[in-house]
Amino acid sequence: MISAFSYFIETFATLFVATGTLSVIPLFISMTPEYSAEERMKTVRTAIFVAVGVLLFFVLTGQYFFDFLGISMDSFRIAGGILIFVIGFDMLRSQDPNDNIKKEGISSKKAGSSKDLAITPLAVPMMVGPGCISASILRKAEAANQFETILFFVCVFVFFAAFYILFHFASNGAKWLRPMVLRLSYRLSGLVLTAMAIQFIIDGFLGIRVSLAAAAKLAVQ
Amino acid sequence: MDPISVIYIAGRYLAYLLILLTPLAALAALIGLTKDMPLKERLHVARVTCLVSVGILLFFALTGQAFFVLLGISTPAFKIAGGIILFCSGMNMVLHRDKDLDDKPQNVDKDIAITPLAFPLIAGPATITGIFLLQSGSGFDGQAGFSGWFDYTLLCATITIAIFLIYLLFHFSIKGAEWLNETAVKLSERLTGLLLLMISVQVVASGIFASGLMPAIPTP
Repeated sequence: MISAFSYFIETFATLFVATGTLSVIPLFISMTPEYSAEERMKTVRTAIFVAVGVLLFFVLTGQYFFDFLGISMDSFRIAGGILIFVIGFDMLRSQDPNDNIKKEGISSKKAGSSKDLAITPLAVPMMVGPGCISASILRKAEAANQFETILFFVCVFVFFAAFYILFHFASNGAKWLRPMVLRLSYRLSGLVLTAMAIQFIIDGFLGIRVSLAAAAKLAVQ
Repeated sequence: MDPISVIYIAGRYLAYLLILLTPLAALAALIGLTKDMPLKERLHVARVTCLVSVGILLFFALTGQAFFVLLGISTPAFKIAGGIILFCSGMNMVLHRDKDLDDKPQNVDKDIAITPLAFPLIAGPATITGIFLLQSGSGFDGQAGFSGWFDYTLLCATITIAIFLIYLLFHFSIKGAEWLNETAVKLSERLTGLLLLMISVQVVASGIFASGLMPAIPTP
């Protein structure tokens, strides 16, 4: 019982660290300076559903899915890195967040607004990125028995429920932030995102060099 | 070749093609563009679209290798170029920057079956690039070669099956399935876009290392 309990706690802690809970929430809030609290929560709801779905899908199919398509966790890192870089760079370069709002206001009259952060980048790869997926696969493999495997899935749901509640508090609290602070944090998180992205790309590139060398070696033999 | 590995390779081809063809996005476009047509005409448009796309794709599948031999393009070079093209189209899907459809004037002709539905929506540059890439190895990681009539037959058969599946999807959706809402389309577009990004990174990386531009780190 005690080992099951500690398994639960450890899994929870792994998810907490791997999804980068504490960095995703402030980043999301500063990426959306023009959103009201309700709009934020609507986006977050979609994002959490997608994140849970994607995470469960990858945990259940494990390595097979990646092998089947001939891709690796490293190409996920690089692709996610470039995606985040483009988004962060846009945040740094755009004249004013308020300009974006005006532009979006016009285009959102057409079907589907183009500024929709819920699925990408918020759910994948910010919440559920390559790090989170590989850590979760490892945690599930470490389950000692059937009970702990079930506990793993319970933990995933509990964690994302807690994530949602945290988001709820944070986006209500964000009402008190002044526009000046929001504008500053918008630029700042653009900087953070681009730096994070380059780190992703470096990690992925180093990894992919090793795995492709291994593949080439196999082909020679 | 044993049947298991044939099925495995065919399954891979099919998975790649379905990612490249983005059936749900094409379906959304088809439904949107034929909104005012009677049912019979809509089915006709779906049929023509699928026939034209399968024609385009089979043509390029059969002639692709010859192009490269004639022009003297090496496989790694095309992998890098094709990977970048696929990456851009994946990026458009993920960030939804494909303004092509939004800005199109709503000219409701029978013509829409060929352009824009068959080309460039279904059998567009990205899909054609993908088919060329499939010919540089079984799967985009290029671990096994692609040669001989057997591989050609397999590829052509999978293309036909993929388009047939898409035709079935079109057919049943036109006949009145209301399950297609905006969120489903968006979700499928974003997630397949993400997969496309990962695949294209893998293609570019394997192209770079195969070209010898950059030595891979030897494993200890």
